[in-house]
Amino acid sequence: MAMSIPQMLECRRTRRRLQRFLDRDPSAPLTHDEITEVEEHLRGCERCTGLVAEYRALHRLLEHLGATLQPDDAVLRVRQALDRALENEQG
Amino acid sequence: MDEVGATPDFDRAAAFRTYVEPEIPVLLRVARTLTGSAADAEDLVQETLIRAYRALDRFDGAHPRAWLLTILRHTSSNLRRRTRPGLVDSWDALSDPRPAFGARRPETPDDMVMQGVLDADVESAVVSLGPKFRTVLIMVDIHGLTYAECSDALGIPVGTVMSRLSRARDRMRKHLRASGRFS
Repeated sequence: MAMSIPQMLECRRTRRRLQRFLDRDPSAPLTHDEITEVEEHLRGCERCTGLVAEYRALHRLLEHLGATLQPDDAVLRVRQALDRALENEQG
Repeated sequence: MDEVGATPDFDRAAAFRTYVEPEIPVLLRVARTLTGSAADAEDLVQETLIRAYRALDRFDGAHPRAWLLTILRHTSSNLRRRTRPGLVDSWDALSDPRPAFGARRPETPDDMVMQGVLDADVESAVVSLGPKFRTVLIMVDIHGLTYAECSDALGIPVGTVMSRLSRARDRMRKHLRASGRFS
């Protein structure tokens, strides 16, 4: 079904805020009113809800990838090298 | 907030343990992304930690990770003038299992198959991004930095982090949709 212009504008406004809405990053928070508007729009818009599902799936995939890349003995090596450097520094 | 070195009984080693040591794994991950090499990343982090140790008495104790990422960036710029460039140009820098990051091994054959399929698709999507977009995506979505921490590490405004991240995610989404990961 074709979307009306007001609906299209509402989708566009929601999409501009969507990543900040999902990230909840302290550097770029949405206001309480903006959050409410996004939530209300998502309740009635299948296309934007589908987009949210994709962003969440992407987030899970990347998070999983991050979990498979664990620092191993690099932390230990850095600490040991640092201890030696600081011992020299302190004389 | 007062600087942590403002107290008469300032204990530099104790402050280092409190504020700096917990951040070493994050620094290593970010350094790996900045340098593109495990060995260079360790050198960069070591130099960063020494500078942080010396500067601890001037640190206000508020945001240790942001403070350390700024030192890391400055140190990286100094070292790069002597050595070589910055943003991660190849996925190898992240996925090379030696020596700073060991890929955790899947435990069962099913895990191995699933992880292989999953990682191949996602890696190919990450590789398809340009270096500026890839670096921000790796720092925020894979290493878990906040926008502000990523901004400190790269020396770019938070708004630029957000716009690059947004474009990177959209490209990833489209790539994964085209490869059938998203229906």
